[in-house]
Amino acid sequence: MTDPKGPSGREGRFFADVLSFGWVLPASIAAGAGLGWLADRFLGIFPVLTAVLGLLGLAAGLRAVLKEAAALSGDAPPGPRDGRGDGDRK
Amino acid sequence: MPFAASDMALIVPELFLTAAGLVLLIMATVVPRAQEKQIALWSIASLVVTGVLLAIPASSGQAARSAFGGMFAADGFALFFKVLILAAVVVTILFSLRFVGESPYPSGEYYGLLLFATVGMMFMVSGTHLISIYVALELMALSQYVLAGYFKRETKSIEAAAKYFILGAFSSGILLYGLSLVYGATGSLFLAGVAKSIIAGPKSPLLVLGIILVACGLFFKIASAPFHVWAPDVYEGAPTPISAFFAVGPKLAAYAIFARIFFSGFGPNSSDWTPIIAASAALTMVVGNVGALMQQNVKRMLGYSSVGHAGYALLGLLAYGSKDFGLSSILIYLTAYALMNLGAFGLVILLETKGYAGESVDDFNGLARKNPLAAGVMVLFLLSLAGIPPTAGFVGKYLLFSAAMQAGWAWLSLLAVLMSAVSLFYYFRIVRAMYLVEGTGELRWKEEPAVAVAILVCAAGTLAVGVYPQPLIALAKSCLLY
Repeated sequence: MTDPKGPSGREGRFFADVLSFGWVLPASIAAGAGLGWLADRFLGIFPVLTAVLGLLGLAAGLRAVLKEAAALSGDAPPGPRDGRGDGDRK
Repeated sequence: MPFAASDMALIVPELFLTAAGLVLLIMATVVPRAQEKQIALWSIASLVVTGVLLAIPASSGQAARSAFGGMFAADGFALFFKVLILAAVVVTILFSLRFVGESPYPSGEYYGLLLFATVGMMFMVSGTHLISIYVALELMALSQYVLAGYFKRETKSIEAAAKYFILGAFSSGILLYGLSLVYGATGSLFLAGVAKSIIAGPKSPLLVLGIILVACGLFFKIASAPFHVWAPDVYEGAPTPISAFFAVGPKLAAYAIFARIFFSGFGPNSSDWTPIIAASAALTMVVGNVGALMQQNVKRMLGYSSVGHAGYALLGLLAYGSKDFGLSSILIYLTAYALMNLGAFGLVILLETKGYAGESVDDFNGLARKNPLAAGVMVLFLLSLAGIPPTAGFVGKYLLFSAAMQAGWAWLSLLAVLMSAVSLFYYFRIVRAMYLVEGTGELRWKEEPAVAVAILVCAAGTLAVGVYPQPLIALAKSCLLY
C-alpha cells in the first residue's frame, strides 16, 4: 500500500518532528532553574536551589525527551539506512 | 632574513618536538613489533616535555614576544592554543594504543606523523606572517593526508585519504592564490603590515578578492560550508582515533589562524569580510545539522555535527566589533568543543564490533544496561554537543551567541539556537538506542584503561567547565590577541 501522504508528506512530517523535538528539555531546565533562582533570591541562599531545581528540571526534561524519542521510534529519517547515510557514495 | 640567536629560544618547544618525531621514526626501525607500545609512550612523554618547555617562559611572567623579524609570535593567544593542541594529541595517542597495536601496520610512522602534524599546528598558531602560516599549515596537512590513509589496505581509508588530499590540495591552492593577491594589494606579508596598508590606502578590489580567497581556503580547513564535503567521508574512512584528531586538533589550529589573520591583518576591512563569514556560518549550521539527521553511521553523524559546530564557532569571528568578547568566546567554545568531541569519539572507539569501532547507531543498543557509566558519560557528551546546561557546550554556545548578538548578528544567533534544537534530535537517536532499545547480539567491550581514563578526564572537564566556567573565562580573557 502506498502512503497517501507521499514522500514529500513523510519528509514534511519528519522535519516537523525534528523541529518540535526536544524543546521540552531546555524549557524544563529553564523552568527549574528559574524557580530556584527566585526562591534563592527570596531566601538569600543562592545558588543552592537554583542548582537543585535546575538539576531536577534536567532530569524531568531528559525523561520527557526520552518518552518523546520512544514515541518517534518508528520514524526513520528519509535518507538511506545503509551506514552511508546521505546516499552520496555508492 | 637575519635574526637574533635569542629568537631560537622561543621555538625550543617546536624544535624539541621535531627532534622527538625524528627519533621516533628511527626507533620504529629498531623496536620489535611486540614492543611498539613503547613508541606511543615516548610520543606522550615528548608531548608532555613540550608542554613543560612552553610553560617555563609563561610561568616566569614573560610578556608577549615576537621573533624572526616578526614572523613568529610567542603570546598568550598562541600559548592557549598550543596547550590545547598538545592535550588533544595526547588524548589521540591514548585512543590509538589498542587501535594501532592491533592493526597490521607499523606504528612508528603513525606516531611520528602525529608529532609532525603537531609541530605544524604549533607554528600555525604562532604565525604572524602569511608565508610562515602557509608553510606550517602545509606541514600539518601533509601529515594529515598520510594519517587518513594509514590503513592502507582498507578501501575506505584510501578513499578518505585520496578525497582529503585532492580537496586539500585544491583548497591550499585557493588559499595561496588569495595570499598572493593580498600581498599584491598591500605590499606586505606581515599581518601588521597588511593592516597598516589597509588603513593607509584606498580600498582595493584586488584586496577584497584576496580576502575572499583566503576565507575560502580557511573554510575548507575548518570544514565550513560550502567547503565541508570532505569531512564526513574522511571521518568515516579514517581510523577512528585519527577521525577524533581531525575533528579537534587541526580545527583548533585553523580557527587560531583564522582569528589571527582576520582580526590582526584584515581587521580594518571588516565590513568586506563579515558578510562572507556570516553567509558561510548560516549555511554551515544548516547543512551540518540537517546532514547529521540523515546519518546512521555515528562517525559520519559526528562528522556532520562537527560541520555544524564549525558554523557556531564562526559566530565568534563575526563579533569583530566587540572583539575581546568574540575572541574569548571562541577560545572557551573551542575548549568545550575539544573536550566533548574527543569524549564522544572515545566512546565510539571503546565500542568494538567486527574489529572496528561501534560505527552504527545500532551498536549503541542496550548500552545503558551493559555499562550504565559509559552510557551516562555518552549522554553528558551528547548534551554538551547539543548545548544543554550544565555542560561546557552550553557555556561555549551561550558566550558565542551572546557575542554575535552584541555585534549585531541577532538573526544568526537565533538560527544557531534553532539548529542546536535540531541537533538534539539526532543526538537523542544515540540516547534512545542506549536506553530504550534492547541490545541485539553481544556488545563487545575492550577493557582499555587508557581510553577510559581519557574519556573520564574529558567528561570531568565538560562538567567542570559547565558548572564553574569562571576560571576558563578568566584564562581566555588573559590570552587574547591584543
